[in-house]
Amino acid sequence: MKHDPNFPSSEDQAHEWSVQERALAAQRAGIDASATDTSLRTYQLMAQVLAQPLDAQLPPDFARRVAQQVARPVDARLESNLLALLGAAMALAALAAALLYGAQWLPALDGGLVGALLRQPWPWALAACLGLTRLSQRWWMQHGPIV
Amino acid sequence: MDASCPPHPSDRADPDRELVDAVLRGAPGAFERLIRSYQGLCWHIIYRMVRHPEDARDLCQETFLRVHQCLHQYRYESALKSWIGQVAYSIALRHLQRKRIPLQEIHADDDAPSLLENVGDDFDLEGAFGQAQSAQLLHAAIDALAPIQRTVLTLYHLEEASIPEIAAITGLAQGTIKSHLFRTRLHLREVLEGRLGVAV
Repeated sequence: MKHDPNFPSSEDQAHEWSVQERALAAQRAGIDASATDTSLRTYQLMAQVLAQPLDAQLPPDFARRVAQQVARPVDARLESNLLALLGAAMALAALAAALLYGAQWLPALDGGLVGALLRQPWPWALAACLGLTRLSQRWWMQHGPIV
Repeated sequence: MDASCPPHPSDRADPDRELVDAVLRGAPGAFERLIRSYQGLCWHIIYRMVRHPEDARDLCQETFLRVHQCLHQYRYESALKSWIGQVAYSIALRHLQRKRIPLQEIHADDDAPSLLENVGDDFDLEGAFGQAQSAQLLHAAIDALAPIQRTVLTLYHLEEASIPEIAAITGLAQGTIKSHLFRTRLHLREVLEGRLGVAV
């Protein structure tokens, strides 16, 4: 079906459109405007049917349930902030332990698998990629297009 | 809004602005109030687009979660009703596209001039069918419409949205919306007058 953005493009279309709109206005005003014109009667019946509520509806508690869902993340945010704090504390403790005692056990890693792995650039690149992806996802969710 | 600019006097009385501010402040009950105000609009758009009640409920929920997440991006450039309607429409559209459901009718044989030739002024609708049967025929014909036609018709007739409001929600040009309304109603008239017939 072609849709003309310059509608109506003919007198016939303009006339039919006017009948459709008169029928809608009559239906909304509760007037029976169909006595003289059968096309007006058809369009008025159409307007009545189209103004009826849909056969299915949202559950009565829909608004409350959805509002509860967005209220819950306040607790979730607190939990994730606490987790981030715990993670940072553990990272700091690990760094402090490495600084204090590292001289004793870091040389032992050099010959082992972990030491060999840490000397390669790709595990660091992989970790950086994962971190950037996670950060960009969070940014996109907050500031990206609405849908 | 720029903090250095005092609010426009008309802004103070704007219920949309008050509601949005309350939701962004996290005022108790504000988001539930917003949902109650616009759930009918979202339901009309989404249910008419997807027609499947369970999917429509899920998509309505997704719409309001998205609204909550993005409300800070709302700039009052359009009415809140149009902005929320636009989110609902986009979510339903994406759902249909994922399911590869055609959005518009593509019949080439039913354009307006031929439809206008097929309808007459002498048809006695009630004499032919009776009001209840005509309504039943109409419901079946509306169900058989393509999603966009069905939604535009519902927004205009049931939601009583104006053509500029429908344009803001759907992103279609106003002339295209008028054309959709005109052709769809003409098509329904022809179905009602028994010239096309529809399975009931």
